[in-house]
Amino acid sequence: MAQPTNASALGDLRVIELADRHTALCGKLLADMGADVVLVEPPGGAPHRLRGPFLGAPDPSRGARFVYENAGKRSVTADLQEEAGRESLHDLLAEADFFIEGTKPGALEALGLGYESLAERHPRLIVVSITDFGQDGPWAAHEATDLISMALGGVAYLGGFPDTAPARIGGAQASNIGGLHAACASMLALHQRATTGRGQRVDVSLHEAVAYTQEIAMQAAEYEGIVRGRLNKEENPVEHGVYRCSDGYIICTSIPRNWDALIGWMSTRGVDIAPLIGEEWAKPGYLAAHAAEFNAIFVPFLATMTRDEACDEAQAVELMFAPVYSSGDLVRDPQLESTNYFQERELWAGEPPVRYPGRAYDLSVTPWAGAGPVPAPGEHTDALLRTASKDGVR
Amino acid sequence: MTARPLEGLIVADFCWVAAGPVGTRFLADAGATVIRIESSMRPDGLRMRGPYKDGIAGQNRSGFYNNFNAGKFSIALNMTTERGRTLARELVRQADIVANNYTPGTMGRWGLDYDSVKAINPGAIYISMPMMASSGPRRDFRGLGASIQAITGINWLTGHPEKPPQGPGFNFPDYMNPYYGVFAILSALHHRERTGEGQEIELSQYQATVSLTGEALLDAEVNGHVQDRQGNLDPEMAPHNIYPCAGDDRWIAIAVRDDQDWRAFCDATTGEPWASDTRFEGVVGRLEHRADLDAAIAAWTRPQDAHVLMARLQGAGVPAGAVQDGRDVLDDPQITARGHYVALDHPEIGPLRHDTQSFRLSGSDIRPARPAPLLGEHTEWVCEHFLGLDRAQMDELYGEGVLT
Repeated sequence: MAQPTNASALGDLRVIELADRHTALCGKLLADMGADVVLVEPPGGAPHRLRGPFLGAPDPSRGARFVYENAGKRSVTADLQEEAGRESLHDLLAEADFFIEGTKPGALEALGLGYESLAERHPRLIVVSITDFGQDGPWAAHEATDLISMALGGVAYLGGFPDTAPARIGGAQASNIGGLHAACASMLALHQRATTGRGQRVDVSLHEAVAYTQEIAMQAAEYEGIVRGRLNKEENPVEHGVYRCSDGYIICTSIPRNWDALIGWMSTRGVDIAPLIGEEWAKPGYLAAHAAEFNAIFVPFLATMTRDEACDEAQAVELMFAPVYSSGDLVRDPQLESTNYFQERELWAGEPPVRYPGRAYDLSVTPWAGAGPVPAPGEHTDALLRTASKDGVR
Repeated sequence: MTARPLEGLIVADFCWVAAGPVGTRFLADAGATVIRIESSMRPDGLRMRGPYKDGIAGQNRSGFYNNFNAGKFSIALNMTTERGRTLARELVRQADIVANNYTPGTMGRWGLDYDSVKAINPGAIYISMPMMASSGPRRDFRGLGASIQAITGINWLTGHPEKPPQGPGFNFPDYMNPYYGVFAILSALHHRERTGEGQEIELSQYQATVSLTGEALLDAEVNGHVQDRQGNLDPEMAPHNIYPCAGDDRWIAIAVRDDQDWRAFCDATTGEPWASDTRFEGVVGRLEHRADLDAAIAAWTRPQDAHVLMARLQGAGVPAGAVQDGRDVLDDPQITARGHYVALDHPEIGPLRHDTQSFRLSGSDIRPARPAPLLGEHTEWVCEHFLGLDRAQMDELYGEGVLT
């Protein structure tokens, strides 16, 4: 990569984020590229600040997810139930490029802040609404959480095992999916504004975002009329089997395709591979039918090695094996160290910097800016709102 | 409706399999002219991955390929020939965006590494998507979405704790990482509009997927606490689980966020034992006794229809959702009302529904304008319009095996 300069890709943009769990990642992605992102929160702070676990003692500026998604943004508190608070919001929007919000459809209209009135007053403003189901449709008023979104969007059905209940993906991924889609959609509206001079409405549905993430479950139904079920299987040598090593687990993909490489490697490790010789083993159907026979040799072989040993030796013979890592492994992973994935950032004034994650990409000219301090609720109200009043703003 | 936002932009698309094409599909939906350079000697394996129309295999019949390549054009070039590589370079010279997700080194062997592209097209936005990165001890790591989610901690956080960390059951990162890539491309495009300057983007699929677990990483880094998989439970909410329903493999998800939801749930289930059980009045008690609560709720849901029960609980304001399978989602009333799936008439297999994106723009229609290309369907169109070749020259290239 070329040596980065200090330019930032989105340093000319101002974003007003009516903060909640749906808007957080979209705002973060824009902030990471240099945009000036201002949270607007109710007096006392937005509810998603109080979600644990906390980094240290419970505190509205220490929720782990809140910190991850909001470090580097600024915060204004305003009571949108009050006229003064709404005028403060308008003052902010007058100088903004994006307004990101995740309130239930109709909630902003009830406050006189619906899209039409925003567009009339701020014609260049891009209004990004990120909601569970989108602005319209029979489920638009339904309630959802991450679990509900993953269930309705078809992704939970694919997780777990055939003999268990379906399982969602960990880490509350529905809002991550929606946030990524929303950030990309926002950029389309920005690009179009350069031509038209006008903003527009971006109406993101988490339900559709999750549905788009089902891989081929939709096409299985549409093309073949079949339901794609839960395909996870324990110690499955044919596809993506997870096996035990001496210090944890490893995932083993591509075994049939690289059969000779696998048994060659096992042989150099002193395994008697005589029972596994024969070209029929490289056929997935044969291997599936003889999985028990294979596992009787393969399971003890892997059990003598660590995950990293097994992965590195397998990769050296072009087998696509990978260790199953936890967050504890990742924070000391040499690969992430070597690319400076974790970057030291001062998150709270007067405290030592924290190794902060999140850099997915390198841009050669406009580098990832990353996080700054975590804003306390309303920390920047005075600095940003010239018309602060006792009623609407604290 | 005005024109689509990216109309006029040209994308030289060297992506294959899933993670790359999902990203360029977004650009095509937004109006960019996305030209897939398909190497006829090394065709995209996704074309031969099911499901297939009517279960009959064929390189233009795959739902996996067709869904994520809708709206694009295809030129089939023999990239093992110098003439084929020269034609590819000419296309790249005219492109605004050059995208690939090959293993590091492949583009370089074709003379299409960033420095070579920059020399002929300094305004190009060039993205590569290595599994790991172009440096580091695991630079040459080979993997798939399934292995990326294992090494990035997704599997560790996913599924039932009594089972091994087998993961989401599909290649989840392949549908996330491309959106990081698209966002980086569109950010670079914004910079180019202001400065005229192109640049190189390296998207690490490893780092992108790791970044989906920021909360767990900070919890480990600051608190030294390693989060484990919890099935469908939540540390702060109960009841919060997936419960059996009537029928074959039918289930419902119910999530009671707080005491207000709990009161709504009890009101909607008057007469059931939990409603009068004081152990469950507050969230602390519900979390402490969640096994008993889940067992009672499961016994209650088991004979009920998932969608009917969902409607009843939603009517009371309780977050609830049927655990839908792919067929349910395809026809659910919400997704249908929103027009998420659009039928595109494919020349070989007829009209079939495809995903659009997950959002609507008020000012333009973001959706694929055509079905996925047949292999090489637009070879002659690209030769004529972008490469300046006439009929005789094309015939010569066919004869030499450069075009196929």
